[in-house]
Amino acid sequence: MSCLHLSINNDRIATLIFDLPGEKVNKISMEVLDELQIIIDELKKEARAKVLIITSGKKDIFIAGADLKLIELVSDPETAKKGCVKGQKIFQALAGLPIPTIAAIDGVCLGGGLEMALACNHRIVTDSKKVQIGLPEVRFGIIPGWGGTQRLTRLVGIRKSLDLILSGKIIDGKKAFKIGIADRCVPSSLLAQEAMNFALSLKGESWGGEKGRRKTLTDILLEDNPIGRSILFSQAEKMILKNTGGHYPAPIAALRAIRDGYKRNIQEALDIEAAHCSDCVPSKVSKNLIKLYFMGENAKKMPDIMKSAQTERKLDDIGVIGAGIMGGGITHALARNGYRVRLKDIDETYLIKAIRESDRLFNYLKKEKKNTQEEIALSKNRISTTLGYEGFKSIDFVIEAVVEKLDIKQAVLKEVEETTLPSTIFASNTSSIPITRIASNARRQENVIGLHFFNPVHRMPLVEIIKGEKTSDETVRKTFEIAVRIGKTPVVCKDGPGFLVNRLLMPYLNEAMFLIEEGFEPLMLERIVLKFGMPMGPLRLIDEVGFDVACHAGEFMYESFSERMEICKLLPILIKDGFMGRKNGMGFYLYKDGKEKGFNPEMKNFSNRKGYEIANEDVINRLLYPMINEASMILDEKIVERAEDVDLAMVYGTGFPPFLGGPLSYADDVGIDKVVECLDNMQKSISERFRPTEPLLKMKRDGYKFFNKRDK
Amino acid sequence: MVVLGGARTPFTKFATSLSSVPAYELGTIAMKESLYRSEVKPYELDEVIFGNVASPPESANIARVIALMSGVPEKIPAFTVSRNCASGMESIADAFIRIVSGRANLIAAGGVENMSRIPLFFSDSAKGKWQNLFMAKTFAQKFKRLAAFKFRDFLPVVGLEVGLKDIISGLNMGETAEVLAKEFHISRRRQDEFALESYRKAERAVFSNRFKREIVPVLTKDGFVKEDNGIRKNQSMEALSKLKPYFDRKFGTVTAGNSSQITDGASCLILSSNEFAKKRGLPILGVIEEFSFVGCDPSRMGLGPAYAIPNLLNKRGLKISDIDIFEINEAFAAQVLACIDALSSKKWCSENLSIDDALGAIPEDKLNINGGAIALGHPVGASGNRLVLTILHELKARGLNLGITSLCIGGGQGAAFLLSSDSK
Repeated sequence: MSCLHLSINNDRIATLIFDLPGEKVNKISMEVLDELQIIIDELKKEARAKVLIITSGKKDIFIAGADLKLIELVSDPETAKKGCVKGQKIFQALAGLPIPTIAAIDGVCLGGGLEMALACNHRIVTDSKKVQIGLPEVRFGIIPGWGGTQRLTRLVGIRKSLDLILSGKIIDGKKAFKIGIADRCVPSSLLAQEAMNFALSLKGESWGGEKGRRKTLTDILLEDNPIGRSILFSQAEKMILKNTGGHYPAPIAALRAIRDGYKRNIQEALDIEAAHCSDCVPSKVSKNLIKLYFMGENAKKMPDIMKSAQTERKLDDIGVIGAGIMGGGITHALARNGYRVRLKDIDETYLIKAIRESDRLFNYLKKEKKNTQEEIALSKNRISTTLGYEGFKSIDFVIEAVVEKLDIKQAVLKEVEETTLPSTIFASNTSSIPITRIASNARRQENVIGLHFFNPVHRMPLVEIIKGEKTSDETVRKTFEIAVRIGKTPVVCKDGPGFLVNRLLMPYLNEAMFLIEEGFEPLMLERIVLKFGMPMGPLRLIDEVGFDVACHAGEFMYESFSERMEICKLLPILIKDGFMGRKNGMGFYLYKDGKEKGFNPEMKNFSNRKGYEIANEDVINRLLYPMINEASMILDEKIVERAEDVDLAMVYGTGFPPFLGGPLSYADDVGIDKVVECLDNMQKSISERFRPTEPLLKMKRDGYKFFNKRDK
Repeated sequence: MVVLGGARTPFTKFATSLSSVPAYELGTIAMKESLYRSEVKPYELDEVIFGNVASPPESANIARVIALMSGVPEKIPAFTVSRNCASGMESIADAFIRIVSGRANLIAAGGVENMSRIPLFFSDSAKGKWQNLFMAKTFAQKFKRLAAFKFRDFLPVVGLEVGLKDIISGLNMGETAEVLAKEFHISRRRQDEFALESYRKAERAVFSNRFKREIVPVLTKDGFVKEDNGIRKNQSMEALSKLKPYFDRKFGTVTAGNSSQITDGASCLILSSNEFAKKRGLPILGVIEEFSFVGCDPSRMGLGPAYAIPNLLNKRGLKISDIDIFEINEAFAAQVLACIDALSSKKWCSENLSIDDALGAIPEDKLNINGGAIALGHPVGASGNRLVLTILHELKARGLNLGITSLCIGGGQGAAFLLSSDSK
């Protein structure tokens, strides 16, 4: 297999084109590195070329990075180190070529790809929107291991490098030029020509080492002396610990690699980098993050059976009914991603609020430079509002986000069927009412589906697509396409109370209520959960959901699952006392004008049991094991088919700590034996609701794990 | 050619609710809504045509801006037309020619004007000084050229005023109305009574939700703007008669009260061939049967309808009595009344139309039954389109057959459209 093509022209300019056969993107594997080594040796020996340009044969891709699949398989530090050292050695050889080298970049240039470009003397980028430059390794629990931490710091300084490497941030060509990663930024169509002109202008002299970067006073004060640097690094470390809660070792490792390598000679520096990198690669955190990444990518691919043979017109007009928080959020997401949206509500004040909120998000996108002013003007104009069903004949797809009441949803469905074309799909954004029940009186039940978004819509990447009993495959397919086009990760589930996420969340929230009812200090509960890695405590989550909604859902779950979902009596009492959560400013926390004002002192004590204590670990077990228990039922009932759907949904939909890989990966790590044993104990000492489910017991008997059937 | 549907923004007075909304936004809002109401999609259009007079600087070819903002695919072309006050009708006429000749099936034709946003200019002498300043190279040069500015150089030239003046006759629009008032001996009292009627009819129309069916609300920072705001409730003869003549202080009779208002707004219609509409089972609001444009004396531009209506009737062999309702744009009460008088005058008709007898009077109860531009306002580029939209709704609602809308056009022209509710 040959993927690197070298040619030398009459001006003695060598061009090396990277074009991985049979792949859409260029990725660096061990074989690619070997091939590169051979070419470098050749160039050194023959001395025919006087400048080397490295570029890509793929459209919009330079090099996407190292092959993640290979990294995922590395399970011991020695192999990891070997991989690091090999890449470092070959990139070092590239950097050591006696002729000037230029990377000509017109597309994705990430991770190992950027490290290779950094090993060149010069980089030319283009202003194309497709250019993505960055070292996103920390997002996968690892650090750049082919010289990236060392070469980038030497090229652009410490602060800019930390900014890129610690966050895994991705920037475009213009930005890369601005911060000094690239020597030039040129229009995409002129790249080949400009790279050649640049090569010719170099006149063959070798040029290496640090470019005469203009230093600011801050550079000198913070980066050019040991005291400044030590302040800089210790501040950065504090920041990381604050942001990651200490759960993610990679940013710290990257920081240390940069700190310890900065003033050393390049070989020593690379050794330091390799040592840190090989610690990270085999770590459980990295494995979980990579697994989640692949699960996410996989989820966005339409299953083959659902693909349609004929090409048909794309749906482009979507009606959203109900301009509350969810309806408004959905409208914004759709309009931003190219759909025309007809937002309907019977109350014009909701329409105004929804548009204002959407405008606020658009302004934010403009401020963050995620979208240009022109893109935003077009997006905003895709939204129109109406109080009635005028214009719904043009609507291809309706998303209903009205109050969570069966009769109202059915009434809306009836109205929609009367005012739209027979082909129009009706998607309900219900969070717990079974779709089949909503569809039960519909004329076209095959067109009714669930499309459940999570709040806030612009931030939560998950949507649940719920297939009712009669929902057609075509309806699922069209819904799937919309979800993916607006940048969401869909999980297709079968119909049932609470579907996937809320069914798993319910025992967790319920258990939190039981704990504080028993007298467990509420703030302590929140702290333990946060320390475990959840993005928010369960009580704050109940505030967000709203006490009434949580209570209503709880009752509904109890009807469906009886004792496994035994309801804590505390919530209805609190509702009676006027607590509703964030929506009325009084929940476990207090809120005023949309801002949180601290923990609600009235929520301190629910029991006269003073000093009621449970070990932290037991608190977590009480919260999570019922969730795992329920998940085994969900898999058994085939609500979703695969354990990875559960993990993906819980991470993307509720922020379950990604470094743990999801609740089922966590269960596998703890051991099914231990989970069952603990549930057994809790069943005996606390309540029947902890009784291990039959599918979980079977797993224990057969020695199965949730993920051990997964092929590698 | 049939009209599938249409929509317009509220018409709001100069420097009020919609003054901060750029013209292209108003046009986009009207066009999107008219597409939805017509049950067709943007990509089905063959062309987008918008009438506009003031050409806002930020949107040269405003039709194209409106089309793309409304989600019309890039490959579908768009152009802007101007026939001064009839620009919003000219777009319909252009669509007519394309559709009737089989060159197009589906066209969006609109009109748009935000008169509040017509820019203020520098005078020519000030402009020269600015240009000198921009080209100055040295500091001394800059200083010297800056010193050349006099206070009066900073007084703006009001673009709106410049636009309302006819360069051939040297008269502004109000002055042309004064010419007619004097020649046709139309008294101040008659003009004011006509104006008062316009307000009363418009008020009644609002009360009976006549305009609601054609208006799409516009969301601004103060909430939804849902209604035309020019209609002064409880307008009275007393109030009208107190106003001073605006254009001829000494002998004049034309006041701000008996003239149309300066207004912001947009209107749009979706037009298609009859076959296209039938084949697709689309709703039909009405039919554009025929149209006429006729030229006349620029200093008597207000008589435009008196030339255009006979021309139009003649094309179809119709008489005034065949027509169920009329809309004549109320640029000025004097001008509408002059048209009525002219058409009822045997002398005028024989001199100007070469017919032996008077064409006939337009019955009062058939004219502008929902009021006109005196009460509703006259956003120049949009009015013609609005008149067609309004009369089609009215024909349909009353189960009538034929209607005529007509406008006088600054620069000396008249426009008239024949409409029907029946698509056979």
